[in-house]
Amino acid sequence: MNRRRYIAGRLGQMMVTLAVLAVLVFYMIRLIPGDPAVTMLGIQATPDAVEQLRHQLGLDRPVPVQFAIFIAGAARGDLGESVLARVPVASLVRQRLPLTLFLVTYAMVLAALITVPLGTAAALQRDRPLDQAIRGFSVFWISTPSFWVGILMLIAFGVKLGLFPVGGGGRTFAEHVYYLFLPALTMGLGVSAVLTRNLRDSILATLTAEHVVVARAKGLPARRIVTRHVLRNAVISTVTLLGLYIGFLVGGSVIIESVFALPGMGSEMVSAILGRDYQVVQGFTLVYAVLVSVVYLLTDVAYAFIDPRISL
Amino acid sequence: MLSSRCGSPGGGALKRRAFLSSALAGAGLAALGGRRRMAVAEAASVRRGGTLTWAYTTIPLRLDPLWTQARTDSIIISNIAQGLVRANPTATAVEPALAERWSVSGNGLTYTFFLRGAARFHDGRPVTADDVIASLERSRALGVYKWSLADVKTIAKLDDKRVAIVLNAPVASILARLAMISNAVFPKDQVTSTGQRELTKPIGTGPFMVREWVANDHLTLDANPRYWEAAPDGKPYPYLDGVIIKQVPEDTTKVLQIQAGDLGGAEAIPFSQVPALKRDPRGQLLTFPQQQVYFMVIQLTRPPFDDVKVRQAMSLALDRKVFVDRATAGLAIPANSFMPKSGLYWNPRASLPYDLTKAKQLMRESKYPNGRSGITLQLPSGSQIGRDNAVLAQQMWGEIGLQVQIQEVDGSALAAAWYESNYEAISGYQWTNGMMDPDQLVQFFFVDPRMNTGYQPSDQAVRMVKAAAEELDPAKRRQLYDQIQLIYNTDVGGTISLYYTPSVNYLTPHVRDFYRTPLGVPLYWKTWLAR
Repeated sequence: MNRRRYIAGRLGQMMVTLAVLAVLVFYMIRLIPGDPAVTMLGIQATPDAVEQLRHQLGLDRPVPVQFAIFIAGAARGDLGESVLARVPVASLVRQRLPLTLFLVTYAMVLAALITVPLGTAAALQRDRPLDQAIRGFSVFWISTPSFWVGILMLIAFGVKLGLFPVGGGGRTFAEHVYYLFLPALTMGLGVSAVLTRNLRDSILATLTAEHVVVARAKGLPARRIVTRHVLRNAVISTVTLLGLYIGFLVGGSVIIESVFALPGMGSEMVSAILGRDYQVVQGFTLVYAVLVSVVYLLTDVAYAFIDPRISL
Repeated sequence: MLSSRCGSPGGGALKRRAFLSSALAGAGLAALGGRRRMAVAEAASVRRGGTLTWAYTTIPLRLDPLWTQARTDSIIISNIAQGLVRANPTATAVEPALAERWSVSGNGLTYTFFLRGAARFHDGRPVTADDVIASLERSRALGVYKWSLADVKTIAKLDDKRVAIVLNAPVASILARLAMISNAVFPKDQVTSTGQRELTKPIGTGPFMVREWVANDHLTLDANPRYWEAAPDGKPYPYLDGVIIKQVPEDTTKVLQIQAGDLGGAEAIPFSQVPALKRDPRGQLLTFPQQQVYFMVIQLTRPPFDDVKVRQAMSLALDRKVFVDRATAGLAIPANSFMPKSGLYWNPRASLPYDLTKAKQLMRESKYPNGRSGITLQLPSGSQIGRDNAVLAQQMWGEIGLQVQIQEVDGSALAAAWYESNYEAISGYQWTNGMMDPDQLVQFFFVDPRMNTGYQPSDQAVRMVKAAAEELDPAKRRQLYDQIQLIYNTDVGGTISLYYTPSVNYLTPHVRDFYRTPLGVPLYWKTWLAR
């Protein structure tokens, strides 16, 4: 019952956040200098042509009217029509969200697969060569920009070795796994670098905890102590961090999708911001906000399952 | 008129085969009898079929030519739709398209177009006078190019295959205006049902038809089996089964995808990558002259640009050869006019020399003998060429006492500032001709909006611009445009031309006879794949 009330409360908070965000985004994008019509016409922008285009794009209506249309639409799930592409924003979301979701999830899975063994190994081999190597690996990936890593991956595994396709997202699930491996790995490595350090420290802290000392004294096998008593406790802070990193991953997908020429939300968002495609920026920001809020909620719910002591 | 310039930068870009086939497709077939046999022999080796995948930084956002603004939009639509006439492959003359010929009345006011019997829409219906009239009336009433038909008095049907266009006053560039893609012909019922809205699935008459269009991702074109234009092998163009236009925003990714064989080709390869790619056997690098000029924009209402001597000194202080070498890897050509070199009526005798001594002397004689500091030179963020130009200009203008601060600004914000004349100087802007005649360009620089630079040309100059627009004798028109270019150079009218840039294309080795006109139109219908 408590759990249900907690979730309902969080959902309520989420709605308030989204409403405030909708107002902010709507007005902020219009406060930035720049006009879609002038941007589109570029050097050929004459007052007459700009006026024609503004009328055709519906930008000559008063801003409060545009806002009312946006809010009324958003409440019904209609995010309006892209100023530049002339297609409903909702259909752009439907078309592009699956790829971004897949990419971000894939990156998180890869990050987890890299983090757990490396973090555990580093902690158990504390200050030995393996630990030093893993810590070096972390520092390297934290300090390397992802677009550069992406291009290197493309050159090495795409062009030179021909192991993976250079760009494109694929159509089926299996194709997604294959096509998106390099971009997901690029994103995943960046995140796992931070998570590995976090998990190592957290395991080291847990190893000295009383219940672990007791388990050792009872003569439990080392493997069992690590998997059942250490990892499960140590991983909580890492899961929190991974949840927080969803925002980082969604943000990072903007760059990675451009580098790997992936038709996801990120690359669309970049062109929408540069071209002042107000409707797309508004709509996509809302979708991103919903995504991140839901993930944060799920992260909190996940604690309860990992650690029974935490009640919601 | 300019001669065809197959040998200009880009060297063998326009291969003989491509040139011959285009010449044969155009007017004057009979005169080329001997060469035709040669072309047919060469055509025997042409392979039909296959799909070419081509990448652009952004793919068309619109397929309605009345509302297209981006160059990519109009050059792709040129593969889908056509008007009565079109620019020839070297963009030096108008050639027949849907009209197989035309006649002009003695007073130059009435043009009669005779429609091609074989011209059909993608859905198989023949092109009639009613379709032409409906399309041109829509383009005259609507969209961002309606100025192109502003001087048209009436468009009348003489019979099903003849249309008469009557003008209010002589318009020297009327054929060039009709060749603009905004004046393409669509079926009357499609035009009527679309009305004020936007065409999203245009039924054209061009060599390719739209199969699938996914905004900001890809555009799939299929060959039009009913296309009227015959290839040297006697069968209709195009050679390809289809073209897929893909959006690939990152330049490096485009190059890597071509090298991996995932893409057939791409345009707008950064100049900095050209030297390395030239030596790389995994692709072919083709450059084509295009009607494009890069310049610095200066706001003439702000000091020190309000003094013509300062402006002249600024132009003289720029060593354009250094710009070409450093910013374009030697691929561009130093500019000598505001008009593009490969364009009609460009004046070869105009000059924009480098003379630092004279520049310093002009500065001493100006209102600002001690120079000026704190000038803000803005550029669109992320524009490599804008940054390179700005850094070079900063150095060279520093020599004459003009201290410049470089500022990168978001492209849309800068465009808005430029539109409102709220800037001091801008780097990274360029003009690319969308029309083969200089009429529009000269209007933009001299009459309205004068590039939003606050330039006030003399009354005499404006009269010459008007006279050139109406002059029907090409020789007299050339004299006028020659003069106009010299005046702009002396006035330094708000833009300081730097260089003429070619179109740089990178292709996989098996793409053959790819050609891009100086207006940027890729002739995909003449391109074929060797495997």
